[in-house]
Amino acid sequence: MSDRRRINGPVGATIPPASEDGASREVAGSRGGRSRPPNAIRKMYLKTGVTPSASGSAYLEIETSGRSGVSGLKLSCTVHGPRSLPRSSPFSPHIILSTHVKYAPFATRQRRGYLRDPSERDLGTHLEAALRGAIIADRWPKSGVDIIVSIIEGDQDRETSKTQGDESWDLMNALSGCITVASAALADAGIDCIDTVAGGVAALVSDKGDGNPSIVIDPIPSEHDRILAACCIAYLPTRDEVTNLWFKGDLPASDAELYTKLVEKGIQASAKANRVLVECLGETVG
Amino acid sequence: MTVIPEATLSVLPRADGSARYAHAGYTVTASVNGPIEAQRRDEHAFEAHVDVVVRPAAGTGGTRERHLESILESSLTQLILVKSFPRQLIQIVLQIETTPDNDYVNTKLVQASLNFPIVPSLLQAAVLGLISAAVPMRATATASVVAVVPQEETKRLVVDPSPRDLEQAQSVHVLAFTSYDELLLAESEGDFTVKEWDGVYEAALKICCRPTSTKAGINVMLDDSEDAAGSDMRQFLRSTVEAKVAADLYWK
Amino acid sequence: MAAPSMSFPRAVFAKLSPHPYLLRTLAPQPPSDAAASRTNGRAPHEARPVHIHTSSLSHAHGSALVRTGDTTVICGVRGEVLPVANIPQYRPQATQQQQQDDSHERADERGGLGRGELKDYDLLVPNIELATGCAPQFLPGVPPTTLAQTLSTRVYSLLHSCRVVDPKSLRIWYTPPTAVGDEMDTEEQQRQQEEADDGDDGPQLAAYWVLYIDLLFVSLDGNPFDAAWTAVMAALRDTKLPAVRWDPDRQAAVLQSYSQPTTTTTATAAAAVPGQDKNSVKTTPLPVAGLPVACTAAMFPEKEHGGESMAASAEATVGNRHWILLDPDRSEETLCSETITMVVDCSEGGETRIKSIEKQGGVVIGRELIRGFAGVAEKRWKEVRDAMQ
Repeated sequence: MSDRRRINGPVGATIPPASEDGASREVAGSRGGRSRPPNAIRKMYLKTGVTPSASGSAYLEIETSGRSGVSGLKLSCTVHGPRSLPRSSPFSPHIILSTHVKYAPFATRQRRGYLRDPSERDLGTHLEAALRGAIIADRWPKSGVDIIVSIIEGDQDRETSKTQGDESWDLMNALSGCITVASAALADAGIDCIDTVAGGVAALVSDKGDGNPSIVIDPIPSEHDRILAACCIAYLPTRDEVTNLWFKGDLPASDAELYTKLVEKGIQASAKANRVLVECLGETVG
Repeated sequence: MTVIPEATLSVLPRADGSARYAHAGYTVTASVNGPIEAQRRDEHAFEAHVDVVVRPAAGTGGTRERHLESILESSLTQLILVKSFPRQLIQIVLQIETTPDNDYVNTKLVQASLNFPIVPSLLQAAVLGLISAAVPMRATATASVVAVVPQEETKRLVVDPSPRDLEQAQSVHVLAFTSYDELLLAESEGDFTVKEWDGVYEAALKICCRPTSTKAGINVMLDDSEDAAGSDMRQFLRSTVEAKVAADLYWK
Repeated sequence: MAAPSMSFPRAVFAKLSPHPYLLRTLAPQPPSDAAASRTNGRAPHEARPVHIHTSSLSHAHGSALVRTGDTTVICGVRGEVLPVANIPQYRPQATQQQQQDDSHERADERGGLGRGELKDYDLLVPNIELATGCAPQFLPGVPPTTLAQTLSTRVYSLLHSCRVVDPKSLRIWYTPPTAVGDEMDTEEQQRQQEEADDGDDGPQLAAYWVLYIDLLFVSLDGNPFDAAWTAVMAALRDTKLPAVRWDPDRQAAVLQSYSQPTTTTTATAAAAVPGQDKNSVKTTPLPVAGLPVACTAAMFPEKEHGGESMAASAEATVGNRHWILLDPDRSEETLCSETITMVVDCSEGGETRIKSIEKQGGVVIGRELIRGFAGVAEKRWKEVRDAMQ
C-alpha cells in the first residue's frame, strides 16, 4: 500500500544487505560479557529545554556499552499543554494525558515505517500509566496534555542476530528511558507532579559460564547469553510507590522469592535513574 | 500540440464559475465556487481563505499535488481581493485532463518531483475560472514556462518546452506576472547563473506583459514583434473574456 | 506588586500585536538611535549560525544533526538493496549500454533535467516528519500536513535537479565467474568460457542501492527548508555504503567484511580467516557532487494584512516600505506571506551556479531583488560550507 501523503520508495521491495553468514559471526565476536557490575546502570545524559516552542521538553541519551556497532538509547520528548480540550470531547474533571511514542525511521536495525505499529502503541499505553500516577491530575479540569517521545536511536546491537526475543527486551529498555525523559519534560513544562518518576529495568539472565541465573539491572540483551525474565518499573522515590510495572518472561518455579527480588532490583535501577533526573532538574533551576 | 492557447469560459453549469484552458499539450478545467462559508478551521478573521485543489489526470494526488496547491494558493491569494470577504472561502478545483504524453518518457502514475510546465496552465485556468465566477480581483495574472536548452556551444531559450526539450534542458523556469507587470511567482530549477536567469526573465516578460492595445487604438503597439516566440498571454486573456462577453450580450 | 502600569512589557506587546512590534524594532522612531534590528536581535540580513554534527547515529549509513537557532533537525540516510528483478519497468539495455559506452553517458549527463535511473526507479526517497511535537502546531496522530508534504517534494525535486548523487555509485554489479577454481581442468574451463561468451560475460547490473533519507524535526522555529536541506547534504556527505557482493544464489546483496575475500572467484578462501576486524564491514563513502546550499528569506511588509490598494503601489511610497528578513523564525514567518528560497552552489569556483529559485506569495520581490539576493545566498553558502568542515 502506498501512502500518498509521503514519498514512497520504489514499487518493488527493497531489502537491507544481508550479512555474510548470519549467525556464525555474531556468536564469535559480538557477545561479550557484561562490562558493568550487576547493580550499575549505564551512564545517562539528560537535558531539558531542547524544543523551546514546546511547553516542556527533554533529551535523554544513554551511553553505549563501549563496543562499536552498539548504539545507546537516544530519546527526545516534548510536552504540549496543559491546554483546553477540543470542543467535541466530553467534560473531564481532571487532565487527560495523551502519550505518543514513535521510533524514527532510522532508529533501529530495520527501517521503521512512518505509521505507528503495535509495539509503539504498547509503549505509549505503558508510558501513560506510568505518568498518570505522578501527575496531580485534578488541578487541571477540562484540559489535556500531549506527551510525545521520539526515539531517535533505539537500544540495539546492530550485529546481533535478529531473534524475535531480543526485540521485546529492547522494548523494555526503551520504556524505562521514555518514562525518565517524559518525567523530566513534564517538570520542564511546570506541570505539577507529586514526585519525579523514573524508569528502571531489572532482568534475570543466564550467562554462558555458570548455570545459575543472576539478576542484573539495566540489561543489554547482547551482553548476555539469554534473558529469562525482565521487568520495567516506574517508581516514585519519595512516596515509595510504583506507578507502572511491566513484567515479561518465565521465572524458574524453584525460587518463589525471585519475583520480589526482581521487582526490588527494578526499583533500585529506577532510583538510580531518578538521581540523574533530579540532578538535571536541579541544574536547570539553579 | 497546441501552440496557441485555447480557452472556454463557463463550461460547467453548476459551478459559480469555470474555465477550460488548453495550451502546450496540457488541458486543465477549473471550477470556482465562492465566496462560500468557510469551515471553522479554515476561517480567517480578516480575509477569505483560498482553497486550491489540484487533481491529476490519472490516479489520486500525492505530495506533488500538495506542493502545486500551495504554490497556487499563495499566488491566487495575492490576486483575489481577499480582504473583502472575511471568514469566507473561495474554492478552486483544477482538474488536469490531458498532459503531453510522450513515447520517450517512462511515465509513472505517482511521481513526487515537481512538474513545472503545468504550473502556467493551472494558473491560467484558475484566473479564467475566477473571472468567470466574478470573484473580485485586484489584478489578473499571466504565466509562462521557459527552458534553457543547450545547443552545441550556445544555449537556447525554449518557451513552452516539449517533454523532449525538458529532458535536455539545463534549467526550467516558471514565471508569472500580474497585470501590473509585477513578478508574482518565480520558480526555477536546474543549473543556471544570474545572467541566464535575466535572459529568461526578459523572455517571459515579453510573453506575459506585452502592452495590450486598447480598443480605441490609442496605444499603438510599439513593436509589431511577430518574431517574438510564443504568444501574447495578456492579449489572449483579454480576447477570451471579450469573446465571452460579446457572446453573452449578443441580444443587446 | 507595583501599581498596574499602562504600558506592557515587551514580551506581552510582542504577543498581542506582533506586526507593529516587529515594525517598530525594524524602523525605530527618530528619537531613539537604536539600529534597525529584528525582534530576535538579528539584523535583517543576518542568518542564524549553523551547527552541524555528523555520524551520531549508528543504525543509519549516514546521519547529521543540524541546528540553526531553535530549529533542530536530524537526518538519517539508509541504503537498502533493490534487485533489478523487483523493478517492474526495468530496461536493462539502456543501462548496460550506458555502462559500456562511457562517452555516451557523459553526453547524457550534460543534458540537464532528463530522466535517469534515479528518477525512474525511485532510488532516492526523502521524507520529512514534522509531527514530533517540534512546535505546538505539529502533534502526532495526524497525517503529514501540507507543509510536511511540500517540504518533502521540494527536497525530492532538488535532490534530482542538483544531481547530488551519481546513479553510478548506486549500482551493484555482478561479475559472473569465469575461472572458477584451480581444480577445474582447463577443458572444462574453456567450455565454460565459451558458454559465457555466448551470453553476456561482462558484469551485469544486479541491483541498486535505494537511499532512504528520513528527516525528523526535533524542534522547529522557522525556516524548515534550509535546515532540512543542510541536513540532507551533510548526511549524504557522511554516508558510507557498505561494500556488498551480489550473491546470485540467494538473490541478495551480501556484505563484505575485511576478512572476507573481495572477489567472488576464490571461493576456497572463504573458510574464515579469523581476524580482529571480523565485525567491521568495509564501507565506501558515497560520492556527493557539489554543495548546494539553500537560503530563504521572507518579505515583511510595512502594512499589516497586505493593505488594500496594492495596485497603487507604484506611486505610493509612504507605508510601502518592506524588509527582507533572512532566515526567518516562526514568529516572523507568520507575519510574512512572500518568501524566496534560492539554492546556490559556489563549490565549482568561477561564477556562482544557481540551482533553484522559489519565490511566491507576493509581488514585492522583483527582478532587482532576486539579482541582489544571489549575493546574500553566496554569503550564506560560505557560512554553511564552513560549518560542514
